[in-house]
Amino acid sequence: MEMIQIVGLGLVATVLILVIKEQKPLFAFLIAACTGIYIFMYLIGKIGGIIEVLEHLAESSGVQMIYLKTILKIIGIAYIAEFGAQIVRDAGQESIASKIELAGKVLIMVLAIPIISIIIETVIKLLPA
Amino acid sequence: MDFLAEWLKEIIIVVLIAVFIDLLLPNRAMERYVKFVVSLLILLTLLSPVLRIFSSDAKQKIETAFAGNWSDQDGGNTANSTEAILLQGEQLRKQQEAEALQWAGEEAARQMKEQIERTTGLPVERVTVTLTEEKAASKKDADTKTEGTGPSIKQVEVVMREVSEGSEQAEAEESRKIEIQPVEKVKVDIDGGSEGSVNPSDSKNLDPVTESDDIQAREAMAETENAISSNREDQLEQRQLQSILEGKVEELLYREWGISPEFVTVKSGNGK
Repeated sequence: MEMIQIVGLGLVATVLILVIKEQKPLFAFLIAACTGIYIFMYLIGKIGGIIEVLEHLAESSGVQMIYLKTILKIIGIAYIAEFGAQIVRDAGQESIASKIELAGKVLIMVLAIPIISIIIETVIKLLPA
Repeated sequence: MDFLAEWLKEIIIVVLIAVFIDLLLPNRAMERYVKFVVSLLILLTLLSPVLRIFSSDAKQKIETAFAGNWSDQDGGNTANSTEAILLQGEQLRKQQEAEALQWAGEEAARQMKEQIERTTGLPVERVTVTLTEEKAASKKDADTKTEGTGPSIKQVEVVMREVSEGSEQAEAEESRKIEIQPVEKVKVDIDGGSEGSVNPSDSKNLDPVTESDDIQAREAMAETENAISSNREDQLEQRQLQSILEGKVEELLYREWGISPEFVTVKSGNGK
């Protein structure tokens, strides 16, 4: 039922955009952005449920919470970057979209820095001095 | 083995979460990067035993590494990091204090044990000293041995070893011997009644077995009664001795260490 709602919303938004696009391209873009945000917000609740399950799983199995936090941050960055980039891309600004994606990639790599440093430290300690 | 199971569980869960994340990702563009970071995390999990070998506070180290990075990302500035450093210093200080306190407690317990053994002449099973760092409350105790604002002794538990020897326990020991003997005799009687082989004097002339058995049984009964009563006396005596001992230990501890008697508990090792 939820899927039908979302698809219906998407179809209505698409028809509206097709109608408006000729006269007012700006409003067409606004409708597209709002529809996208609405669907995204709708999905956030579902993703929250999944994350809760993951957290519970990690907590019960004694995995360090810091790992899970890192992974969740990665997902968050990926989702937000993707969402923003697509909205911008819809407006026809391909270059800005690719910059947003680049920012997302860089932020994900920044998250990896402490892990890399710890691993390298350990490996260096392992090697005979 | 427990550690190994824990480790395996951690690896499995991390890999599971990684696969899940892979499915959750919105598009292909981010996939390579996310996979890289997640595989690094898995590697870190795999390496965690090695990490633990090389540094005792590996977990804390990881946490600080991540926390530092995140606070930088969130726009945290030097004030934030100084706070973190101060917090860390505070934690280290507390840890050191706890270690020092524990060490002092052990040392005090050892000395107390020696003193008690010397004064009472009885073996001491163990002495447990609980120290607290109460600056205000330690005023009273601080006058005696410890420094002005140092830790104070909160509780002392003295466990005496089972009292079976020693100059004061001679009587108790004797009565215990009496207690043991009749038990043996009764046993012999039962055996003699059925087989007549254990008691040599009974087994040789079989006729007066019953008579002698009767007599012996009566004797044994009387003796066991005696033993029971003496046992009771023994217990009473022991209780008295116990209280005397308790008083002695408490007095000693008060004299030598300035510990008021309500903090001292004396137990005997008989319970175990």
